[in-house]
Amino acid sequence: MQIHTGLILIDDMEAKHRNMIMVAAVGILIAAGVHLTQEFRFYNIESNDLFLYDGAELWARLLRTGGLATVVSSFLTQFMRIPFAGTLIATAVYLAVWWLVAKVMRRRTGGAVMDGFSLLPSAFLFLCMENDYYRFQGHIAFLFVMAALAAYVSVPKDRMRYVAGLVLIPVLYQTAGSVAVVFSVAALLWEVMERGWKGLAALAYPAVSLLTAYIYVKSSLVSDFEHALTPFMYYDWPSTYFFPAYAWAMIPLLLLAAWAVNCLKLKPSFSKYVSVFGLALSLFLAGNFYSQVHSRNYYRMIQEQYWAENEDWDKIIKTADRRQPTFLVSYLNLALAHKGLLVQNFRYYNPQDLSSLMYPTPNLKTGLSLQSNVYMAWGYLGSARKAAFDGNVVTPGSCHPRQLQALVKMNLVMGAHGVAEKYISILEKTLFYRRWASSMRVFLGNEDAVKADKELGMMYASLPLTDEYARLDGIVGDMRDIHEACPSNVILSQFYELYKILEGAE
Amino acid sequence: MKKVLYAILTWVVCSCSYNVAVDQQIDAEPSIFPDYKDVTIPCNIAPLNFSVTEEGADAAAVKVEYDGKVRFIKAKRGLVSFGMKSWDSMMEEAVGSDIVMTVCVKKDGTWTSYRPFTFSVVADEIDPYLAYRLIPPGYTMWKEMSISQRNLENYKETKIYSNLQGKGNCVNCHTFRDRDPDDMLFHMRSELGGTYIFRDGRKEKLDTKTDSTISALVYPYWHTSGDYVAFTVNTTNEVVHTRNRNVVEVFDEAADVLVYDVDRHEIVTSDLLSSDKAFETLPTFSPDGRNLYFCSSVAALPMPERFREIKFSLCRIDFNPEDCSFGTQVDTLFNARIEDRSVSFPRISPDGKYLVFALGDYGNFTIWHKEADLYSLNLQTGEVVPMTALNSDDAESYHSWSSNSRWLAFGTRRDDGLYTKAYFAYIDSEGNAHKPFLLPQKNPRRYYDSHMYAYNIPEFVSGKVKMTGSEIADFAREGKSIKLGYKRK
Repeated sequence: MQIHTGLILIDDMEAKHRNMIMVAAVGILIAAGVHLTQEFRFYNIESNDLFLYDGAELWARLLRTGGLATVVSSFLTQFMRIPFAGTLIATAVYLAVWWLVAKVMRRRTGGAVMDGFSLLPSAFLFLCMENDYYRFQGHIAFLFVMAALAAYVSVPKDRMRYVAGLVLIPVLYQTAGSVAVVFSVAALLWEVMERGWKGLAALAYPAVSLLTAYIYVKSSLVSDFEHALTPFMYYDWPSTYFFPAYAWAMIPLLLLAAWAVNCLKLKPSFSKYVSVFGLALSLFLAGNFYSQVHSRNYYRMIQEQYWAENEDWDKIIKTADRRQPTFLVSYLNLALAHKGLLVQNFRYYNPQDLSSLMYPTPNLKTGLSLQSNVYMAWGYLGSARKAAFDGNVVTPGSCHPRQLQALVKMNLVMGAHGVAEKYISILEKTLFYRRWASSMRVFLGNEDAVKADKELGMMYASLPLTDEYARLDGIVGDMRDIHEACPSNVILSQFYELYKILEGAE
Repeated sequence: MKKVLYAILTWVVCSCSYNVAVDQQIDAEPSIFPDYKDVTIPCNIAPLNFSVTEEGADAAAVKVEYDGKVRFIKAKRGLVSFGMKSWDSMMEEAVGSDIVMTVCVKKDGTWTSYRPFTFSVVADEIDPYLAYRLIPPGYTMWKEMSISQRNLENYKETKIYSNLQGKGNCVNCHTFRDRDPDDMLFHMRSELGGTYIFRDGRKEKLDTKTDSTISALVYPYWHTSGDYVAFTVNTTNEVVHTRNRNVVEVFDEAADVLVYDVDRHEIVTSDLLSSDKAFETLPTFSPDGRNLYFCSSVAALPMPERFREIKFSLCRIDFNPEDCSFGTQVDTLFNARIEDRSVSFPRISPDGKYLVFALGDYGNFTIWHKEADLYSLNLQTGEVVPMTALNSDDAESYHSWSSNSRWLAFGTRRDDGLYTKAYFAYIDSEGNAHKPFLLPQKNPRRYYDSHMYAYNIPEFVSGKVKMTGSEIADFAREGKSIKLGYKRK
């Protein structure tokens, strides 16, 4: 027996293997694309949140709207600090969504004609990552909904399926969030296609999802209807959200397309080409939109941040562009200072004015991380601690692991051991920062140990001899105080020297 | 048959009860968190669960003795948890007396009991709710902040309003008229900005910036009648220390006091409350509504260079609620310049006997001043005393009185130096403060260890605020702002 069903040709074992190889090839292609375009975003996403191995904390998170998706997302993103882990996780999500969408479409068409087009939602999910305020939780929530839809359409008995739909919508709303709306619309369409006029009973689905959203808003469990009914729920800041909206819209549109394909009764041989076209279109749209929305400068910034936090100064210097914009030179300057090359190399890079020494970055997560990292390296601890604290606060999950680490160090140096211990306790509940946090306990209540430590000791020695208000006399005045307190602080000394030169020049 | 049933029942009861055979006693205080040792507590407070934090403990238990009864509570992972029902019945039976707690710790197979401590249970009830703002303690950056309320008789916390229900903007300065949950006001800043007043079922959104004032209205205090609210207008800034155990300074470059007439939508002030030569701030009405207390300092500019010269004294002016007029002279009750200290947040007990204020070295944002302590002024004798029993090495700052004048809620950074927590102290009929206790939680150690918000402006409320955040958000979006008139008397 030979069945032609578009992309996947079930013929014999050889054909099966051929198809598996093809799917694997597409998977590898997607993984490669994801890695090349988003590798450093994953490192950045990892710092958006902390997954705490604490039952009470997890339970509290689960009880929030979309809580299960948040917990699963947070669990997965903690691994994204490992090279390639982010790529593997994201690719797995894209492939799983693709597979689930294809599964639903196959049930509709009875074949694989829609397999290629089924990649479209994943393509738009991929594009969501270009917005820094988007939470990975949105991906997981979408995955939940597709799993629920695939399970729903596989229920053979109409009445049982109807009840399942009614139950699933509020459950999805609680566990995944506003994306439950997609399920309600898709399930309604499914029922109408499946059962004709009788299927209109499923109008109850959107009604239930609207009612659920209404209850959540009125009980203050969700802030407003925009959050309750749109992808806005998966953003950390007011932002445009057309890519997740496209991903959402794809599900009912694909169902309608599947219905149309069924009506057209395509020849099996033609179905294969339709599927291949769908696949090509998905990849093209992902690439095309990516090239339009990708910010090279921002990506460079998070690359530099990653290298700086891993003290890979050579990488920053080697990959630096002589003509890069002002806001990208701060980490480069830091890298040059670590190599003792700042003063002699500063004029090699553009721009060369005073503002480019430490560009005044906006008070958002990345900008505050930059301020904290650079100021801490200078030993400018009052300002660095404030930037680290604020950077931690504006982080989506309100716990930025590296800013917390910075806060532990700076609070130990500045004698605020109580709050340092609080942050140590939090980091001790994580998988990857536990050991580091515990190693810092030795400094609690032990100023001598702080002074004796190479890194903390340098910071301690750099504290100004007398207290002043920061920037009262301009930043150069504060640098002078640090330099006087600790002339052996070579990072600060280089910046201070350049500041004096450039200030004189201006 | 009865005997058999009795035997079974006895066996069940005995097998369920827990006992510890103590091997040795030591005369040392046990290490517990929160420090609830020898605290005075109201009979209607939620269970004071605590953790035994003795290092190297394999197991821990607490022997509880009151009213001739003895029972042991086994600690689970160090947590001593009183069941809600058994706690309530214990409170009922122990009211007016002491509950004696003896912590027992098992180390290396040996049970050791520590020096017992007490919960002194008093019949004076605490107001059932506490309202506060939860905010990251940097005050300049936030993502989420909320005005929340906590039922003090159990552990339930609910949000009155979260800024995420609006536009993510700052919400602050919640206050209630005489702790009445139905009469509340607070400010929102930037988008949806305004002062929101909810009174007698009426909602109003005020645009409080006028051409005659330097800012929108800031620090409020509601007159007992509900007809007036004292506010300030301030130009406020913040600066970071380069090397100081006080991390941040918040300072005013100008500050005036004024009174808002709720019915006329008019703000009224006088030269004695709004002078260019002085900073006037943090007003509070006396319980009888006939006096307005505030803090005043000689103005010193430029700021922040001269900030350390700012010493706020405690002042008082007469107030006539009949026509919203002020007296003709200002009395200084505590001259901070002479004492070389600075007063903030005067708050008078509802019975009118005591005025409690925070005292720091300079300025008025005492939560950032580790030296800041609470002081009590006896309004009958004029005597000022430090409230030694409730002060600590770290900052004590904003405080509020309970309806019966027996409890003081206050914010303090004593535990970790940054994340302000709410504490409660009993003030007895002689005006003496007793050792305070931390706002109870089901598992306080775990809760406070991972809690990343400060308890800002703890205010007692006599019941639950029923208005929901959703209602407030709807009103914020749809309500029209009322412009205020201005009058200088």
